[in-house]
Amino acid sequence: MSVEVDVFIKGWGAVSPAGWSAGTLADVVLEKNALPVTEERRVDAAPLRRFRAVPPMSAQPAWLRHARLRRVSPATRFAVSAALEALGGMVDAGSEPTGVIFTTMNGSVTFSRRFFAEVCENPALASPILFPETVFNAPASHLGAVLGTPAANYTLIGDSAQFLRGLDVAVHWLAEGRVSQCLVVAAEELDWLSTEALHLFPGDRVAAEGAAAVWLSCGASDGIRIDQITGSILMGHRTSRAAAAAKMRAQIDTPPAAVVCDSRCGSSILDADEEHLWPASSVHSPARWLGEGFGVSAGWQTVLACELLHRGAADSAVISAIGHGQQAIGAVLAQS
Amino acid sequence: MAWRRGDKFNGPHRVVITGAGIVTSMGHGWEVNAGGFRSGRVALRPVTVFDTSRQRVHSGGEVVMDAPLPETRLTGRQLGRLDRATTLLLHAGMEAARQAAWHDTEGESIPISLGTSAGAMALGEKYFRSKSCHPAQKKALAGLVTGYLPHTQAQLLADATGISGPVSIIANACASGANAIGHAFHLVKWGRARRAFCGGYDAIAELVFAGFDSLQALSTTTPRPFDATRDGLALGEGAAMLTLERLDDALARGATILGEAAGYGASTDLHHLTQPHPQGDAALRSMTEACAEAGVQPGEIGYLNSHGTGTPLNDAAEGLAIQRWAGDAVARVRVSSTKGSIGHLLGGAGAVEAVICLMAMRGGWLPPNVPVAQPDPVCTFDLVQSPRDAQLDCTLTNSFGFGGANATLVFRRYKA
Repeated sequence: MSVEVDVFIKGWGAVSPAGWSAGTLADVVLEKNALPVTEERRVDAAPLRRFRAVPPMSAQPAWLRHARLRRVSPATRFAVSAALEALGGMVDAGSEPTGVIFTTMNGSVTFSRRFFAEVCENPALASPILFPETVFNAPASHLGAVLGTPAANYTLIGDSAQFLRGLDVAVHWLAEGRVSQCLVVAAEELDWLSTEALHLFPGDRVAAEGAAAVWLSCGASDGIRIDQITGSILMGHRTSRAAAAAKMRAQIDTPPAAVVCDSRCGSSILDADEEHLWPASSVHSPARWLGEGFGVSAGWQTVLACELLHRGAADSAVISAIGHGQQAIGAVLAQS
Repeated sequence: MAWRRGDKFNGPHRVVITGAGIVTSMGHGWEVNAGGFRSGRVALRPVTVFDTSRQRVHSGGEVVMDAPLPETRLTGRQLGRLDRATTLLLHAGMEAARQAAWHDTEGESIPISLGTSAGAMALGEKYFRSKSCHPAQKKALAGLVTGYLPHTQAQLLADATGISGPVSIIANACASGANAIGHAFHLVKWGRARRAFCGGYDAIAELVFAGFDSLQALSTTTPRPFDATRDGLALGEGAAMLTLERLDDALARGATILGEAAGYGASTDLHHLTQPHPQGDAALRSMTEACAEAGVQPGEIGYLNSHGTGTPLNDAAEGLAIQRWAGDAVARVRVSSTKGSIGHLLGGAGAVEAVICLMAMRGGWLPPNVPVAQPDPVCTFDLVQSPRDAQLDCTLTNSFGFGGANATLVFRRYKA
């Protein structure tokens, strides 16, 4: 058997420091106005944390009343919001087997940190309510329950480029016929534990939180088509970040006049590996304006690419995701 | 795996296992583990990796780290930074790689698919404690953060074995290891890779141990899956890795074939974050899906390695699922849980239990479910309670996790 598939993005959604929609994310990036940065110390001796949080919701949406969402972490709320935006508000996945692929780096870090603090204090009093929410796949599980989809559901842990690996797995599931539609969702939440960790590394980055989601199908004939996903080039002892970036770039079939959504963040140290890859003038870098989104970063790039294609800014878009330690991976999307 | 529009997914290809590595509280390697599981040895002991004096439970399937790491390609600096979870992973990975004898991996992109629920959690715990006690501290913390990230463990595995490619780290709680193998199986089956390196691992960590205790899921007596008076599980640790490749490639190079990966099912239990659907709906779905892919009927499964944690809710739901899945054949289905012997390995469980299925098929025996004094009434299947020999052509293993992650793998004895 030989199967050739066309895979389409039928919808997309985002939550970011810019707000609770893909549109607000794109507006901030296109206006090239960096959002205000909050600076705090948790105690006097602690390092200064620099971050951009997701603004409060203007009104509580109906989906937040779902029983499974009563005590969930912020990452879960972000993930569900972005996913429902991608689905166009359709809460019931219906009879179609819908796969869920969730990507993250830090998971539900606020609950993990709180729970372990309780364990250190007194394990006998550590909360059984918190612990289940600390598992990496809790957000994906809640999302599956909200959508009512019993199909395959993966949580993939990885660096800031991981969202594109999620897309790759989704394409595979659709081609196999394992699911007829698939959501790829990433989410992260801010906590001092991860923000102070970020500040241990070079680059003077601003931490951020939020989510990104795309809804994929291989049945549609219009929308945004996925034309290419490169291999994931593993960094490590034998392959530097720069070498991985160059290998990824060599695999991309760059369409003429494509817009590029890259992973540069405004740090000369970190951006050096990607700077020379895309000489075209039409390059957009969400992390420069939103901050370091950890496992959601490449998701924001993907959502931005969808918005740009939808708004007619170009016929095709390249996503260049150079992670901070694991992989370099790229993708090409096109307006069909 | 690179993909371009117009690329064809070709297959299905038959996929075989040509290398397996395992480390559990039974010990290091295939031989010692096969001997232990065949005889039904119980390898639970006091937990020493952290202070359990303030916990209700003090024992588990802790690995005795008495075996030196086999020679790897890691640098001295890398070796000096290995944490417990990564060390377990490397033991299993090196054994599998050695057995597979893949000598031509240089320059080839070979997918690495790993399952874990906590990765190097102990490093994360150390980082938290340092930050809490000494907020201004910076020294040595970046190394802890980097080491904690699961992709670092995958990179070390790649560096150690020379098998390198795109990394998928599936964190589907206790189904992670089975999902990782299933994912790799499908990559090879559908022509996206010619071979893959896959498995699962987890080390005992204080956060997780206290978490299961907070849920009162840990046995305060003796873990005894499928016993009517069971009172919970024991946590364990370990790792298992498999090398998968196309059958035609394995035959062409004269590789030893340990078994054939035949079916994989994955489903999501929507009932509750930590409790299974009482009737085992999602378990039924994953078993049915895996058997359909393998083209086997329940009556053809010679041995079923159950998830069988020993918690009241899990075993009852899984038992009912097995009844519904097997139908009239249920009395003939031979079932055991090996978690009474080594504890629950969480993200490593699915991979370790996959290797146990391969061992049982290769050796012609059934691992007993120990200890059981009074089987639960749900056990209308043939619960294997003592060591038994058996000719096995087809085996199945279940893995169910928090979040409703359910996965089933089916393996077949290789026949030309």
